[in-house]
Amino acid sequence: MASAVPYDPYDDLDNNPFAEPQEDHEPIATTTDGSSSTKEEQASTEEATVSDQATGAVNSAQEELGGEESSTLSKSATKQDGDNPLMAQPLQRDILPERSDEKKKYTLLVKVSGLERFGSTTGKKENPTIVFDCSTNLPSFRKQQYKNVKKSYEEFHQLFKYLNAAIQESFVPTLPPAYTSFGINNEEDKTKVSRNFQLWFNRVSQDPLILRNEEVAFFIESDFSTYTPINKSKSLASGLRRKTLKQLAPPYDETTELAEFRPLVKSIYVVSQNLQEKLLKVSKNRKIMVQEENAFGQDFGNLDEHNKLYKRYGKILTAVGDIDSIIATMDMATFYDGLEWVIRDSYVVKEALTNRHFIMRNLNQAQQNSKAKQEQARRFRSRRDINPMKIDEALRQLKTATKDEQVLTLKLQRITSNMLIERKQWLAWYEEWIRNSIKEFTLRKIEYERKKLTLLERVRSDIRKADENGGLSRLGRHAVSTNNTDTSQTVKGDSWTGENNRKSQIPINKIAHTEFDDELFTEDDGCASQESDTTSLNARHAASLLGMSTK
Amino acid sequence: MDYEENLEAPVWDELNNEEDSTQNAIPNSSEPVGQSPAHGEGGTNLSEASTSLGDGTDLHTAPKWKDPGLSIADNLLVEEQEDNHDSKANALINSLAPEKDPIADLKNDATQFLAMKGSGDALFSGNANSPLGFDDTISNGDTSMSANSKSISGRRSGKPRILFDSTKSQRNSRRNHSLKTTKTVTSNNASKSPFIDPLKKAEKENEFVEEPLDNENMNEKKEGDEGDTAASAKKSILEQVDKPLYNLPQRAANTTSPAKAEGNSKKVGDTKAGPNVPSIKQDFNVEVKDPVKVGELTSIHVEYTVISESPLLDLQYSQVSRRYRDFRWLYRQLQNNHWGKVIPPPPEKQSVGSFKQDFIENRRFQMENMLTKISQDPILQKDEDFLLFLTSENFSSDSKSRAYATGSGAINDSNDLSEIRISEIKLLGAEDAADVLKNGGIDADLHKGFMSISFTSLPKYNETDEFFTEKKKKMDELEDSLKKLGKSLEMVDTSRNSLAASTDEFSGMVETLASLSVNEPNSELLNNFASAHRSIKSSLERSSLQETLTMGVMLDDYIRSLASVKAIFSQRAKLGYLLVVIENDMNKKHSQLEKMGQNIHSEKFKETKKEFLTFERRYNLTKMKWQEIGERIRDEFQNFSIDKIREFRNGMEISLEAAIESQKECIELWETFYQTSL
Repeated sequence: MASAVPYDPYDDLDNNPFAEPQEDHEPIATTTDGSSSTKEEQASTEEATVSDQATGAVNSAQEELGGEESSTLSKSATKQDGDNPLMAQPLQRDILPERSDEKKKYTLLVKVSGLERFGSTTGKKENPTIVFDCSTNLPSFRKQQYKNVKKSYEEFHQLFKYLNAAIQESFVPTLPPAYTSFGINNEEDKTKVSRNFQLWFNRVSQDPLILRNEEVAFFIESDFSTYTPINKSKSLASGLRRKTLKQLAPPYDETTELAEFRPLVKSIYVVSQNLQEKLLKVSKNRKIMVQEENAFGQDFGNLDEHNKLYKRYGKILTAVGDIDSIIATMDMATFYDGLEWVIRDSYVVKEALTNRHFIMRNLNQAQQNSKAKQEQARRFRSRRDINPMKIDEALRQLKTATKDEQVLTLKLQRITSNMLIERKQWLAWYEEWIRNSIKEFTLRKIEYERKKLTLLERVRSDIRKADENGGLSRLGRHAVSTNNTDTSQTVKGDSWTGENNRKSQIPINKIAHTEFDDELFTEDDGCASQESDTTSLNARHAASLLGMSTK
Repeated sequence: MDYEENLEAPVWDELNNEEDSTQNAIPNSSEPVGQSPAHGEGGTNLSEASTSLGDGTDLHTAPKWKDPGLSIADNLLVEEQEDNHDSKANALINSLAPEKDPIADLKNDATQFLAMKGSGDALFSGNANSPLGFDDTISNGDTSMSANSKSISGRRSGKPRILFDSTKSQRNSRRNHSLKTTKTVTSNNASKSPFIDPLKKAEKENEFVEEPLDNENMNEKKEGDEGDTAASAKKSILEQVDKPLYNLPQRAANTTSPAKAEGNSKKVGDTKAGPNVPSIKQDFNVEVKDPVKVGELTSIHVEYTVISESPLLDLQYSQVSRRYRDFRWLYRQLQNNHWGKVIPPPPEKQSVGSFKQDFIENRRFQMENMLTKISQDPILQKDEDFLLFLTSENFSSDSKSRAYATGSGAINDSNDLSEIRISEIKLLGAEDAADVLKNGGIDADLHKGFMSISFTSLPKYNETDEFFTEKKKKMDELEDSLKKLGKSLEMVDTSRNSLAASTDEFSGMVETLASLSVNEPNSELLNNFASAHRSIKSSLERSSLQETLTMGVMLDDYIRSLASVKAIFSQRAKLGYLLVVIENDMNKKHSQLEKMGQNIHSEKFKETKKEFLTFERRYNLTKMKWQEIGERIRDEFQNFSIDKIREFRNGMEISLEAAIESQKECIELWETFYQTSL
């Protein structure tokens, strides 16, 4: 891997083979660094050693500082770094002018009004068109109101890619998935995707750095399907180089919040992926179960051609199976899709933090560079007979090096302070989002489990009627009335719990009786056959199957 | 005619039996045609009659021969039988093996009978409905007797031997009964006893000396074991002593109530009381528990402790250990003892994984179920083999000897519960069966000469009664769909379990996410989420277990019971097949006989004649069994269907209720999670 990297005298320190090949943590790197640093001491310059120690954990750095002769320099270096957070607070106005207007001078209000899917099958799915209205007072826009702006997902993606690379200070929110597990071309999918885009716009417009980027204006003002980023953005490192750099131990980070943030985000990323996988498995298993349940129901129906009871029971079983299939889809559409956004976002956050590491590393290099130049200038000063040309050259080099260092320092400060703010926001978003996903998941679950119960209770009286003295009546369960409308779930609450006045009873009831519910129940009440019922399920079923197959 | 003569008749029969190896039993029943003093000539008389009849109707020989035998020389009945086979058979079986509340019949009988005997049909049906009618009326005294005789005489256009005929017919019917049960088994005894013990053999010899007594004993013994009265006088006495006293008062009531109890009628009364008793259900508790693995390597198997408690047992209580094989033996044995009865089936054989814990438990449950059902059946609970099964200390040898003695083939039974074996011993009686077996079975000729006989001449049994073909078809269909249902239930179960497993994994992963402790509320939420999923998982597992225990066990039971039902259908089919084979043989002999019709006194004629009679006897026996089993199957099938449908619905309801409950639990879980965490 080293061959691909251009030679960098200071890089190979970090590139030592003993270093842990992970990009996260400093503490692990300390021990190897300690041993390697002694070996490197003879070979490399003093400054290199110091910088190496600087990358190590605070402890090891402190220890070795006592033993080193030229500790002053390193001290100044660490001091400078260490001052950053302190400086960031009072200087935030200077470092982050965008964040300084508390009154939120500039706003961007976006209201997503619709979603259109057309074109080829894949286009429909992967590249929907989002329709939105926009109102803003940003100077970069030519007017304040934009109505019915249509942008394809592809364009959004372009914008995101540009913003993500251009704005290194922020965690640019990732785009929500272009489609949901509901499958495409249904109402749920439409509302869900639109809502997700609304959430995305909300997040974007909360970030002043993104708002002030003129590319946002270009994006909104461009015609449908014509937008490409006008400015060129370049990422710090990409491809193989990025990969290699990521293998290096992360530079010492005195901002502990951010130092710890990256591993956390990475774990979230990894665990969420695993979780998604498990959920997919659950869902798949449930679908298999649905198939079996349906087969069981059908077999039950076929048991005796002339027996209506068996038929009815079989049909109810099949319908219960169908509801299970809906539940499986709902599981996917709520929690799986929720996790999807978490995964995408956490990946971007992780990479943004990696970029910060790169900048830190660049800064370290720049600092060493400027120190080297300073040293050179000092040496020149001690000597009398020196070529003035050389002195000029040395001075110029010193100047550029110092300037580089200053620029990088400033940039790092800016990034660090912005990220500290965004970190909190992101964590809040994450928590909120997970909560919402779980909430939606639970509500859907409750809704459909209740429907299942209602279905099961419907056939109960039929079975009882068939055999008055059978089954549970032998256990003295005469209390079960033969009334067909007998259900255990009423507006007053659930018959099986003592708590009747639950706080959330009203929303639950609303959920327990959706229009889908009514449709399902009236149809199977109306006539003995539930065929119309199953067809009503079929659209959903088919959609869910479509959703499944692409996963 | 007085009763003394009647009393003598069976003695003669039995003697004759002994000489002719019981082959005259049925022909003898046509005696009344001739005169009772002419007993000695009975054989020749009959042969003459047979030839003359044969002359008249060559083609229909068999039916013609059968008719006098079965209808007790009553022309009216002959007609009746020809017209209405079913009702006749029904009546016969009812009179022979009363099953429907015979005591009630006993009480009402006299009046009912008197009321009904206005017409011939009424008499007949009265006879059918109330098997004890004859006994009662006769034993109730002169009046009813004379009334009876009068009515019959009126009907019979003044034949002098009415009274005799009526008693004769009883005796006949009783003999028919014993043909089915007693007699065959008596002869069973002959072949069986050598294998049991010398004592029994001696007893058996005794038996033949004390003919009438033995007869009585046999009849009494039937109480204990209808299918197998294979015991000697001593043994039956012993048994009587050993047997609970419950049937004594019963018989006492029976025998004392008649004002003038004649020897014969008393005997008849006893015979009738015999089958009465089994229909009274006794308390019976059976438990199967403590499966223990025993043996090593090749002989490794699981033994279960069978504990039973009942007044039917010698000591009221018994505890033995049995293995799976023994349960199958019991099934086969009962099947053999009670043709046409649906025997509660044992669990299916399974060669792999038979030592897994839940498999053993499942099997234990099913076997307990089987024993409980047997013990709840008024007839099966008194089966000697069942009691042997429950009590025998040395079961492995006892079971073998029993299986051998009855020819049930219970030791090497087929895996398929619906496959059956018709015991020649039970069908034809021991001596004849021994003959038959020596020649390689009833249909041996067919197998032997398979290559020489043209294919067309192979007899084929066609079920004549639509009832059976239709029901058989229906049952096959039902079995198919039940099997399918069972399979899909199993699949549901497996998929539900894998869902539970993946849910578990999922909640584990959620916990991992929670352990990242991004922040406090988030971790708590995720932890709760995970635990909700864990509860869902255990609820899933529970409901899957529940489903297996209710629906699964029920379906399994249903399927196995169907196999048992199919077994009785195949019993009929097999009997029918044998019937055809024997008829074939008989007809052959008959035509042979006819050819030799001129020289009646030649040695060869006598030989052929004897053979013919043997075949004829076999034919009649088989035919009767065949009809009998048909009737019984109808009855059993009806009961079975009703029982099973009821059971099935119960199962449906229970599993539905379980589903509803687990659904409620599930909702409650999510609600609680929602309340507390969101």
